[in-house]
Amino acid sequence: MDDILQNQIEDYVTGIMPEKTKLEFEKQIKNDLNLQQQIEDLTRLREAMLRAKVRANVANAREYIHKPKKGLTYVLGSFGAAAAIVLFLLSTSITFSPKEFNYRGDGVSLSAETQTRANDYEKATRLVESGENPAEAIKILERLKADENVSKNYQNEAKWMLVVAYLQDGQAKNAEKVFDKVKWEDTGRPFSTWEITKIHWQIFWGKAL
Amino acid sequence: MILGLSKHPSDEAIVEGILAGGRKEHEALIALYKKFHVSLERFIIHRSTGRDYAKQPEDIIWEAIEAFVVNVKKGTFTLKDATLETYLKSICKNLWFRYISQEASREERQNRYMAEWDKLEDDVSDMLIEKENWEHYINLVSKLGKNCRQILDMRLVDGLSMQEISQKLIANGTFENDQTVRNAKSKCLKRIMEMITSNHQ
Repeated sequence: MDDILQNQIEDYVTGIMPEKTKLEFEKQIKNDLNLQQQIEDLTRLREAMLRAKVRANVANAREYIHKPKKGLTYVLGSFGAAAAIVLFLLSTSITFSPKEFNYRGDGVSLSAETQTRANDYEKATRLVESGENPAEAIKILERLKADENVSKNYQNEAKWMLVVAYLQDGQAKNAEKVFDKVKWEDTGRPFSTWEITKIHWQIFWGKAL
Repeated sequence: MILGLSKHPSDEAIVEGILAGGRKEHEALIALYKKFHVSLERFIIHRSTGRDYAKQPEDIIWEAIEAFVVNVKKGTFTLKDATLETYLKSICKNLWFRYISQEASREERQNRYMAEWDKLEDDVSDMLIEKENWEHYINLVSKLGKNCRQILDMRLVDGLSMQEISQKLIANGTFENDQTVRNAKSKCLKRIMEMITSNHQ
């Protein structure tokens, strides 16, 4: 079959043949069984192509409808929600690790001065843990951190407590000064990494306000 | 936001979008689903037996959309015939009863579904039988390569001339010149016609 006839068949089947040519062509079809068969086959193919295309388009639409939305709103929304959760957690009160510091030691008899310092330390701990009267806790802890009779371990423990007491009292700058020094000490920390991150955040936020 | 279609597109706008093809058709399909899927799902569930079927109302809705789009493209559906919702419900009802009656036992079918079956609209029912008959040809077409599908789609479905097709495919770098496009079309057409006639005989 020549290209011209093939093109005519295609134009006829797709409905783009000009009206005048179409009338002539239909006369030709009437008298040609072979041509009739070719048109029938191509019409069938055309409809199969149309149906296959519709199926693919509908499948695309279905996939689009059901795929998780990754638009800007979705991404920003997810990011915002995650950020809000982290900020909320960072803003909660700081808690101490279960391993508590024992100022009195085990079964050792204490001098009157040491006994007083132990009482002070325990009182400051209670005040800081409860978050009540941080000003009173600060007074005690500032005294303890500067007391030469207190070992380095106890001094640093008092400094960590003092950071939290300052934050509770709204003194972020003072908290930062003590924190910047004590965080480099190698005497161990009474807080977990997460709690220290919270301290960082609360100093930053306290200074910003 | 759907381009050219408002948040609550009319039936006319959806049909126009489907006929326009391409991006507009995609958006019209999404608008169609969003507009009617709740009422169609309720409609199907209301006609369910409570049994757990492999096909869900969601599958039936998309099958109905496919059948509807074919009719719009073929020009066998116009909005003068019925509203979109009524027409889609009619297709869903037919598809659903056909499916659950195939799944049901013979006795169940006699007792339960034949009464409903009688109420199905003949024209929609015929259309669905026809749809099933086309499955074989659709499968044959799906075996064609990407370039073949593209050329034959443009020529037979979109009704573009060979010159228009060549321009498009040369411009996007799929083919190098006019002759290679023509050769590819002849080859693809010959191949698919052989597949169809050998299956038809």
